[in-house]
Amino acid sequence: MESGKINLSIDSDLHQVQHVGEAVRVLCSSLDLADAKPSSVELAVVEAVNNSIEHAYQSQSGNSVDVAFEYDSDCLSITVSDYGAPMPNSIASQFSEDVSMPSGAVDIDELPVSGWGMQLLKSVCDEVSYQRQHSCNTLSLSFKLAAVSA
Amino acid sequence: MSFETEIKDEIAVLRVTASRLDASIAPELKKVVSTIINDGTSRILLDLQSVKFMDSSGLGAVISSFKLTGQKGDFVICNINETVHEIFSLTHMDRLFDIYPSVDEGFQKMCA
Repeated sequence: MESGKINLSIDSDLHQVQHVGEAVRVLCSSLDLADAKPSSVELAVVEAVNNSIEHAYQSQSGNSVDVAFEYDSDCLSITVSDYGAPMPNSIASQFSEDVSMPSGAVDIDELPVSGWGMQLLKSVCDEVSYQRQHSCNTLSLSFKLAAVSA
Repeated sequence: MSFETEIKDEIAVLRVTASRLDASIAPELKKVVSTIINDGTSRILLDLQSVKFMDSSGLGAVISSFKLTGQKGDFVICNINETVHEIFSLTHMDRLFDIYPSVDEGFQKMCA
């Protein structure tokens, strides 16, 4: 597998996010993912971009969200970056915690109607990390690629 | 329009016609469900046949819709593909929702 890099940039408009999703699907169709499905990678990237638009830019269009893909023989690494507000601690802290989905009998009255995105993202990625540096928020996602037999 | 509604035997069959139930249309789903309920129907069959992709906002809108129907209402989902089912499965929401393979089967269960 050759290595490669692809950079995309979209406006901070939720209606633009599907274009990133479509690009992820095309890219993943040429990669041999070890565990994740292409649809899972699409979900993770969409959740990360949605997070930038909704939290960093408060759903205001006219700002840029950058998505960078880099792959080699072992791994697909994706970074989603923005220059908006820092990720709220309530969300950022989830990256150091285990995935927490409802267990046992589910009570509809107790269920949240939002806040599922980062949990889903963590569920499908092999690794996730968040960093804020020089006013830039970067969410890094990685997916292992299947080993190529000799 | 991303949604179509048909009332049959006091059950609202709500069809998502968009291929993506995501953050860009999730608020619209909640508004449509609110309108259906305000118009007097609290039994809803959500048909996701056209939906090829759903994100957490779409899932949140489905949960919100279920909550809106209330204890006296009824909320059933049908026609979900493998990708969408995975979202329900990852979040364990497949334990909460009644999910049927087709509109006919969902409708029959609601009428039983």
